[in-house]
Amino acid sequence: MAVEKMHFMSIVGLVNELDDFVSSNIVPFDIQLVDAYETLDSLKGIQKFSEENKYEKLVERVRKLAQLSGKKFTYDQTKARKVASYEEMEKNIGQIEMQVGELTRQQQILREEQSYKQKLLHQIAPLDDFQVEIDEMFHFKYIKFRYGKMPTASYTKLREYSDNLDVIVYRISQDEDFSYVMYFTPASQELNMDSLFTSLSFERIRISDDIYGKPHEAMEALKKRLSVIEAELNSLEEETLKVTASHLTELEEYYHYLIRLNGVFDVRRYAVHTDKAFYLAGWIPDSQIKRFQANVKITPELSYVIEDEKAVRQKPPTRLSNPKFFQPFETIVKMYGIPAYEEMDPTIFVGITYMFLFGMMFGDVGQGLVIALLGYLLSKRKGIEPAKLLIYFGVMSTIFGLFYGSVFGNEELLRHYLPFIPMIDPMAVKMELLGISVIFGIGLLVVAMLINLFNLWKNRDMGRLLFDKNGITGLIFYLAILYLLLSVAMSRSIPIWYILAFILGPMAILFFSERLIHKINGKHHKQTDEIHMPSGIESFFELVEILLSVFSNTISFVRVGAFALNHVGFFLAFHQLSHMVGGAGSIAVMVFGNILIIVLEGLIVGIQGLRLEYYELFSRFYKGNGKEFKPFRIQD
Amino acid sequence: MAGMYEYNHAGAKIKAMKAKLLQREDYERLIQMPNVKEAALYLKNSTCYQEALRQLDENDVHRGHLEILLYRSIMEDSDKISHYVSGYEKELFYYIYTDHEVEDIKKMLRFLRLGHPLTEMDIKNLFLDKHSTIDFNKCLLARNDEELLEALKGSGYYAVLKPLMDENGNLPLFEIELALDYYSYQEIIRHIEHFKMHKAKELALEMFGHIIDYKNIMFIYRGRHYYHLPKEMLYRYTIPLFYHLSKQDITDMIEAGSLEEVIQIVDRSFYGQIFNLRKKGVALSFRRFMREHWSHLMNVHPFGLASILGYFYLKEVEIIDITAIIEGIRYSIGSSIDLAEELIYPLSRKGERTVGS
Repeated sequence: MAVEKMHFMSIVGLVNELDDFVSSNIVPFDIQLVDAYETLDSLKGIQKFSEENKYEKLVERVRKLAQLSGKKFTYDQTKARKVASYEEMEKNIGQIEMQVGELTRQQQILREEQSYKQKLLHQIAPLDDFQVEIDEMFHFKYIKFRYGKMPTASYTKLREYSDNLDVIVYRISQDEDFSYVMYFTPASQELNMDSLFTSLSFERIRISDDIYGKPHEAMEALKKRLSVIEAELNSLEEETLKVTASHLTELEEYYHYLIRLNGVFDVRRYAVHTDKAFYLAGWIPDSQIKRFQANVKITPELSYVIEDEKAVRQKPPTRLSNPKFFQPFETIVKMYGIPAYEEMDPTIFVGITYMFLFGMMFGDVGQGLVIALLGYLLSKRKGIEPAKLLIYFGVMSTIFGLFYGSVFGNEELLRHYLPFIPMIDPMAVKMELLGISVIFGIGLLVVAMLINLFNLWKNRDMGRLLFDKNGITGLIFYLAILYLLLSVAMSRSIPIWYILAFILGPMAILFFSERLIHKINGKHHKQTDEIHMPSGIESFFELVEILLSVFSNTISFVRVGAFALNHVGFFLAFHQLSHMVGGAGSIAVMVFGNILIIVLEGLIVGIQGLRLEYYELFSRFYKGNGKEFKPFRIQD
Repeated sequence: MAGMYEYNHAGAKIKAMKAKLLQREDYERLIQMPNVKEAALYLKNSTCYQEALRQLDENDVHRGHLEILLYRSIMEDSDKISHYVSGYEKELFYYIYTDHEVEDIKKMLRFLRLGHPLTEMDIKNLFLDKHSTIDFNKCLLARNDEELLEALKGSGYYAVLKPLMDENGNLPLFEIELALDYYSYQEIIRHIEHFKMHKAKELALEMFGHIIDYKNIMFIYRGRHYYHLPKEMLYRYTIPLFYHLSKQDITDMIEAGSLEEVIQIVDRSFYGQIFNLRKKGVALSFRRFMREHWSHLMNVHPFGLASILGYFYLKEVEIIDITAIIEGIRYSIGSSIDLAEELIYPLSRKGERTVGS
């Protein structure tokens, strides 16, 4: 059920026809290629492909050109048609690159000048208001001049005593942490002052020889030159754009074709070859075989074999195929793990149970509709696939809401307008509600165990089928304990043989279960791997754990009812609040309350449902250790 | 007034710890000891330093090692007390750590200056504070100044030392020591400025104001007298906290024409009554004054920050005394009366108030 049957396919053909074969017979189908090297027994004369992929580089070059014109191509297989030969394409691309290359080189030179000028500008920016010709200060004879920055804290400290020293300190400007400072000192004091200033974390800024005259004027000149550069850069860019744009359609055609060639070439990663022949191997789903067979033209040089999956040593990949209605639930299953090929796909089971669990826990007509609408918008507008689940949940919530008689927490409205629907008030029948949810849970657990039995039967794992805690023994033990509890609760007497046969007996079997399973399976399967045999103490604690989990797993389902109550409880609280506020405020409180409940409770209920599915149910019958089916696709 | 009782739980703890400090009898016995071994054994067995001196080998008492062990006991005290103090005031405790970190860096640099890589250094002589921001494992691998500086990256010292490194990758030792001291006091001042409670701030200023004034006086006096430092160095490393001495006094001292003028300025100031720069024993006089003053403050405000600060000062002074006694015995400086004169503890001055006895 629901895991598609796979076939293993081996193909042999001529090496020089490999590309043609791939593009006409592999690409259009869903085929997962496997490394052919590993599937072969005899490797004599067989090699992997080691040719260099020349398309890849060309694709990269086309991409770069497209980038210059601000465009990014995305691969569309319908547009991938043969437009030119490889040599032609290479020649044309080379020509376009030549044209563009000259322009980009000019840009490069201008950019370098730009960044140098900007650095200069940045250097002297703090000197803007300084009305002295700066280059002249370098030629003093008796006075040394320094320019730089220091932390403002050091500057303040320095100012406290600098008047007593042989130095003139002049602060030109300051930003957040730093002050830009000039100092002048007699040449004889140069060393002393330099060491004082360095100890105050003064960092000297050397002014470039390219600056003349007053800083402000120098800056103006720099700015002027920068704006010219800017303009030139812009016009160059425009020109580049024009050149690439004129070739854009050509480039796009090349791109699609090259991507396709590149993708087809990539098949060499999986294939092997001899001198003349190639060999490919892969998995093909049952549903595609017919079409594939019709498509392939058998020639004397080409042949293929399709084998049953059981004949092959490799584990087949799993492709889920479910009715469209249940497909969104595949996400939930995949989050836990992909089912193994021979395992049962639990998607439909999850779909049904999860929806019911959610509805029971969160039943409200109004809020359900809001959730459904939200899910619809998210999946349609934003294309978020898992958001479809919200639609299902919302609808279930609405249906259960009808029976709980709740619209946005209002308990009277529905009862007034739809009196013909039998409604229950969760708060009035608390114990019954909790009881029903436990019974529902027991039902689910039993179904989960039955599925497990089915799985084990299918895999011929007789040992586990008979003696495992989730096998027949476990099921009998579980039901017996439930019956025992029921009888005690109804104070009915129970014969001693009953206890012996259905409770102590299974317990004894479970105690030795690993050994028994090994014994039975040992005959059928040749499992020579080392198997861990539990010691007595380990088995004992295992048994205690089983006993405990019988209760805990069952009681766990109380939460289903509890959350239904919780929902009502939340609303009671907000009703109280809105009464206390009164007036327009009360509406605001109810709106806020509803939003909070949708977000908070929706999230909690969703998580709790997931927990029940994964922990209580999946652990009984589902392993999820399969590999996902990934058909070969061309991607850019 | 509320501030006074802010630390009443710490105050109780301090009271208990104060009782464990050395008593008059301890000092009297210690100075009578015939040799270093006996003195060390006495400290090890009969005083509160039992735990701290466990590692000490009484047959080979080394001054540096002994001091470090003793100072570590201060550190343990401060760990204990810091649990009772919160907020910015708590940060002040780290001044004690900073002090030793600075000492360790100086020691490492001096060792490097002797031309050995730090891997050969005897770490018994390093404080190696566990609270330290310095990565000592990294530092001790350094082979030269540059590598040591690199290892200090990430601590506050990096920014202090970095600008002082010359082109050859050497750190000028003398200036480094000045810069490090300056930095550690600057940190203390910064912490005090953050104090929220007025009373606590006042007290902390009283403690460090005196100490920093004293440091500044000694720095300027010695800088002029012995090292002939240029005045920009004097200005640069004068610690910017002015308590009894005004900023003008400091400027006058730096600008004064002769050393005599400097001494006159000090004489006129508050410190003129406490010590005389012309005579010996300036440090001793100053510490005796501080000890007296803080013992008094501790008695007046038993539950304030005063008792905490006071306790640490008493303890530090005690350690200085113990080291002095051990060294005195080692070089057998005359009779016991001489040694008593050299102690900060008022052993020979009968009639003066003593603390804890």
